[in-house]
Amino acid sequence: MILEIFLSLILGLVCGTITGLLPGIHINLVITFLLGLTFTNSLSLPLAIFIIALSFTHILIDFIPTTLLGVPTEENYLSAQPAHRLVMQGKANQAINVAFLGVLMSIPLIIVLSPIYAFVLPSLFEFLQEIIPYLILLMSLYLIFQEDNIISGILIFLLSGILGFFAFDLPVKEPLLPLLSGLFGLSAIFSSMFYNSTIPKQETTKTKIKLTRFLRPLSASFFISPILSFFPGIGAGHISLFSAQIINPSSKQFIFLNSISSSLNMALSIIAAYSIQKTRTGTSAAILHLLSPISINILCILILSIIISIIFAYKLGKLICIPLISIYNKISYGKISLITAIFVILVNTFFTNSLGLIILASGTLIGLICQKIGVRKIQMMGALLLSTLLYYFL
Amino acid sequence: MEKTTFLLFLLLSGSFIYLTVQLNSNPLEINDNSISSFPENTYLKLTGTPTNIRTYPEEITFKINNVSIRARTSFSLSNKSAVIFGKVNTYENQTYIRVEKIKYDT
Repeated sequence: MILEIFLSLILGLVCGTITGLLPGIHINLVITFLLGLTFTNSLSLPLAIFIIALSFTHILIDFIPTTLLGVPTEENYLSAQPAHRLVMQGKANQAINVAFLGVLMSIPLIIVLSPIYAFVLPSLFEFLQEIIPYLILLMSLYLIFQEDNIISGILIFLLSGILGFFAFDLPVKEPLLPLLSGLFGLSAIFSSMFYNSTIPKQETTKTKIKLTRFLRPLSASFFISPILSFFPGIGAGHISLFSAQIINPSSKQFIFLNSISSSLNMALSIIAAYSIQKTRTGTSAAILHLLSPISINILCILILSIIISIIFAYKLGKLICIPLISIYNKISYGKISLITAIFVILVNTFFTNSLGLIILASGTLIGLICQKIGVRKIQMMGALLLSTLLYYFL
Repeated sequence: MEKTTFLLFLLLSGSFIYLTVQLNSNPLEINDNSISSFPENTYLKLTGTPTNIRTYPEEITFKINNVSIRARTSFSLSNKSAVIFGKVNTYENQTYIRVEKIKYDT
């Protein structure tokens, strides 16, 4: 069994690196494909550990294409802008390394918060369940009212929400793929193709980052992540934004905040699958599907796997970062963007159906409108939040 | 409003109209065993709790008004109550639903 677990970790690390580097590939897509295959029961735990290794490696490695290509996912789209500012100064390496450090520093928070999430959350959940829809509504309204132009904010939230409603209620195959690829991925590539034709050469020297500069985002994430992580439709983006309201971070601190929130949100969703049997991410849903009911011993193995996966992924990320930036320096940015856009469209063509491609196109249009009228991308999370709110209130 | 933004809104309105038409015309909801009366490739919607799940080849059976309707699928299946969307498909003289999407109750 130990050998199987070890092999699962290594395989997850390799697959997570590949999916993380490929823009437009979401973890859920790989997981859906895996769960469609037939496995014997004895493989449930190794498969769950493979999914954990894949997910955390994907989260960490994903910051490389997000920074270099400007192709974010729904988890890290908020860090794309500060990362892009550093790319424009030739400091992509620093942006990526700050994100890596954020993911690594989620480990102590996972260790501290896991017992609270595992044993305290169930007693609070019954009460919290009643107020979840009102809190989601309040959070959405708060973020909309933070916009300079509130009407534009409402417009983007509603347009994304209606698109999300279409995606989930029509027979769209893999609805999240075209929905999120359009809203956050393809629209970002197209706008960078139109507006940023010249990107400076990126530094390829090793960079040292002082952890002491990130203690504020670390503590903000410690308090905000556990409160928001179990809310349906609320992701790392919301956690980062609410944490940022408290500490007013610099560009690098925001990237750190977003990466630590992404990793912590994923870890806490797995622990919530154990404690309240509710799944908030594709990864936690897959693990619950494979291992239900999850025992305390299995939970300990899963947490250990999360920690080992993050450490290995961090080392691997550091290893491949500079060589990838060197390759990036040799290819024109326009060409990379075009290849990436074609790749994202091909992935969608392969995995979804014709209705999915209409969702992809509509999402791309909303993403472009959002940038044109100067609304923050967080409003596009209405794609998930509006459906969640309708589910609770109707 | 800027010309480009107006054009983007126009394109988006077009795709929203198309999606609304799709939402209203598909899928057909059935409440009995009349699937064989629908032409091949018609979109259908079934609501209920699966009564039987077979893993290979993947097949799910829904009981509607005491009549079992079988659907073939490559999706991972669960016993939870669900809505399935699919297309009418004939295989070896039997009419099935070929599942395109499953929405389980959360």
